Amino acid sequence: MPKIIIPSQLREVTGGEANVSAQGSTVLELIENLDEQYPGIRDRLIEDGKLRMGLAAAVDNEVSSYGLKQKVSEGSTVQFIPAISGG
Amino acid sequence: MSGSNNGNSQNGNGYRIIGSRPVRHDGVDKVTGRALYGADLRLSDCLHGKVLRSPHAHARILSIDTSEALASPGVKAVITSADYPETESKIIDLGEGPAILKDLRANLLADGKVLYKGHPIAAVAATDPFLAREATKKIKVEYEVLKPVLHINDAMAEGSPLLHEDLHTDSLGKKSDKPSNVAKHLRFEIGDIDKGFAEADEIFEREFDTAMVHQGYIEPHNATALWNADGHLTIWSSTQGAFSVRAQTAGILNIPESSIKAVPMEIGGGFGGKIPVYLEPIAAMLSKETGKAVKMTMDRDEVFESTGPTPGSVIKVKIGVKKNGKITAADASLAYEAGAFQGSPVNCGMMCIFAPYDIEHVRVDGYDVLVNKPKTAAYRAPGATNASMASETVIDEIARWASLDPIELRKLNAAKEGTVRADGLAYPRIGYVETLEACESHEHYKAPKEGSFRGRGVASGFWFNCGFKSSVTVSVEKDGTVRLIEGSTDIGGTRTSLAMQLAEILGIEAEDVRPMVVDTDSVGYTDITGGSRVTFATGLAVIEAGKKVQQEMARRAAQLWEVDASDVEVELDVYRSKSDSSKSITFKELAGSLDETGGALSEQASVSPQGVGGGFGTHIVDVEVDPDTGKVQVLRYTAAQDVGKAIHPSYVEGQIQGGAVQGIGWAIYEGYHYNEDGHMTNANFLDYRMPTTLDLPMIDTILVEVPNPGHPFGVRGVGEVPIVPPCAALANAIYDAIGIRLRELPMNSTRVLKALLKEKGALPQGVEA
Repeated sequence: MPKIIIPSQLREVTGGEANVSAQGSTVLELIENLDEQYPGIRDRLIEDGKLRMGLAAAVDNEVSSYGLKQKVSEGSTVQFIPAISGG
Repeated sequence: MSGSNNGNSQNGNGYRIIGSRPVRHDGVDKVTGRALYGADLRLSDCLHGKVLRSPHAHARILSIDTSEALASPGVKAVITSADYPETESKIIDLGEGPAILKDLRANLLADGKVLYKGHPIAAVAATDPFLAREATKKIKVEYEVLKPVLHINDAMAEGSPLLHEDLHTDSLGKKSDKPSNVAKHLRFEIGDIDKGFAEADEIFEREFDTAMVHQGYIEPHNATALWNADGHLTIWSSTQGAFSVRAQTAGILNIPESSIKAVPMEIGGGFGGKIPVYLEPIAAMLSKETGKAVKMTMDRDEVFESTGPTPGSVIKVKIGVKKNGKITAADASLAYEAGAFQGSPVNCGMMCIFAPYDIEHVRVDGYDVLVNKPKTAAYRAPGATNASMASETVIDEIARWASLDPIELRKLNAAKEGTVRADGLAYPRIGYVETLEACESHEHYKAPKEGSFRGRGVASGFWFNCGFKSSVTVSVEKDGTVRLIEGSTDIGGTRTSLAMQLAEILGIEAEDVRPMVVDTDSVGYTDITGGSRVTFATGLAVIEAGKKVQQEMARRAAQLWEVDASDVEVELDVYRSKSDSSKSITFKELAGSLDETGGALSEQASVSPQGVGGGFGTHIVDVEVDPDTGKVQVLRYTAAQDVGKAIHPSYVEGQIQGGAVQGIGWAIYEGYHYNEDGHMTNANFLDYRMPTTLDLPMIDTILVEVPNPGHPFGVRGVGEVPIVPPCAALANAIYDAIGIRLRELPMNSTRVLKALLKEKGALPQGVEA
């Protein structure tokens, strides 16, 4: 099952757990499944059907440009980090 | 088809073109003054627009009366925020990040409240720019003046005046109960911070305060708009991203992006400050109102007071360390000025502050804080320089405490492949240690320090490399030259760095590629020039399109020879038949036969790449401090950087030199000065002191090449890293020279002199330290 590293500020929803697992083949499916385990976490990550403003998903250390639609595999690790741009 | 163009080196680095130094394609236009900038644009029957700006830093607008201005000579239109089309408040996608539409609109034309001195209130279109300016003075605005909030500490204090009464602090989706000037709180945490500090033999805890600074690009913002009777809008402007101009303008005016053509003019510097739009939608509204083209150009004071500088900040750093110099834990709190609307680069500062180090236990908090100053924008490695000033001066302090050479201490704790950064991501192959080794063995670092009040400082820094989306079109001309059509505005020599990658792939000369930056109707979607991404990401599009061209050229050769395409092999620019060695043809000759083999040849590629390669830099600086005036003179400066692979070494060296110089300016000269009313008192280049060539020595560069595995040529972003280390390097050098730690920016002569006098107990009574 894909592994998800929970951002520090959302660990209050997961009872302090930093590393959890969830089922799904996309980032969105993982979050939906995660919300079943930890109700409320979906709304902390998703806003208006997209990842919350300023947030990006990284799968296996690569920041994805596909957001919630990014595919994940069984052995993937997913993290949520601030989106960056630059000057 | 088979073949390779990567193994036949003519310049000793495994490549034929990559790593060489051809003359830049836009060089003649630039040095002869032929390059067309926004202010050069002349359209017939064009009106001129000017903006009325707020004289107050914080005030409620009670009424606006535009009637006298409208009746003024030559005036054709006056607009305010009331003229915006009705839209729902929403988050819009600008291509490389979302934005809050209502904030974008309110920053362009104030809606109910002015939030900084210079905040636009109304705009006038008239037959000449002087009449337009005079007319702005006839717009009557009634204000209820409010107390401005000018410093982060004041903005975060309980009971502070609020900029936005409806703003609540967002902590990753959880809103504060009470409204606040703190728009966002973010936290990163890895390991167990308490455990890490418990393991330390010594803990260093310091606080830093840095001033707001501007990118200082030479060319002011400008825009010309023509809203045609058929509903199509054309915008010519100085921008880092034509597609971003299109998206922002479409969002603000509530029209389809496809109805706008954005034309990027030549750009006279941007450094991140020309990503947001300031004039384009206003010029468009004035054009719609009048039916004529409207041209707008800012004056320098408008650029300083009303466009996005980079934030000032208050940063607290706490680092625990063992006696042997090994860092056990690091904790930081970063509060960045967002300006009048949310969106500072504090997130990037948080990701960069401890990025050069492999630390098991890390916690970083970040706060996005609203103050009555212009909305901040990106500036070269946005947020990272402030952060590096804090962490890298503490690192220097630790090295002295541990009796270790500062480079040795950094090597002991250096991030490497696999190191997990504070935000949780692990590094791929990086070249930080190599920059430290390059500095350690450099003649500058070994040179003796001679003379009193002289010192040497070292600091390191990290910046990312963005991917995002890029498109190019490559067309082959009958004479064998190649047109490269791209949408990435060229602010750093990327026409040439892209042309060189194409030439390398096709086996032709860089001079035989003609790169052109075109408008949004003429190339596929391309994100901004920013995030040090163009040579990397647009380069990948170029490589892909180039390979398609090569494949098609091979097919054309096969057609000429009436053989199967698989029979054709390519070496550099020569196409040969594998089965008949008498058959070979050069790229140029084959280009001359395009008509006989099917006609024009044009290939397109669009990419959205991963595999970005962040970069590290380490800088060494020698200074001399004048004990009588506090003036800091930079005597010698050397910058080492992991550049992945330098496509055009001269441009990479230029990027490093430019970044270092901007960092030096930030360190010892520059800063927004505000009076208590929130008025910037140095909004011109005479009083906003930037370094000139007379202030600086030659900036020596060391190109460290640890290839990025995510790019065929090993390219990493190079443009932003070099602005990260200078402030801390200068602070460390000043300490080495006078034995005083300065933790505020700028470290200008006033601040240094006060510190010297305070140290001697000679600070005159009544003078604040």
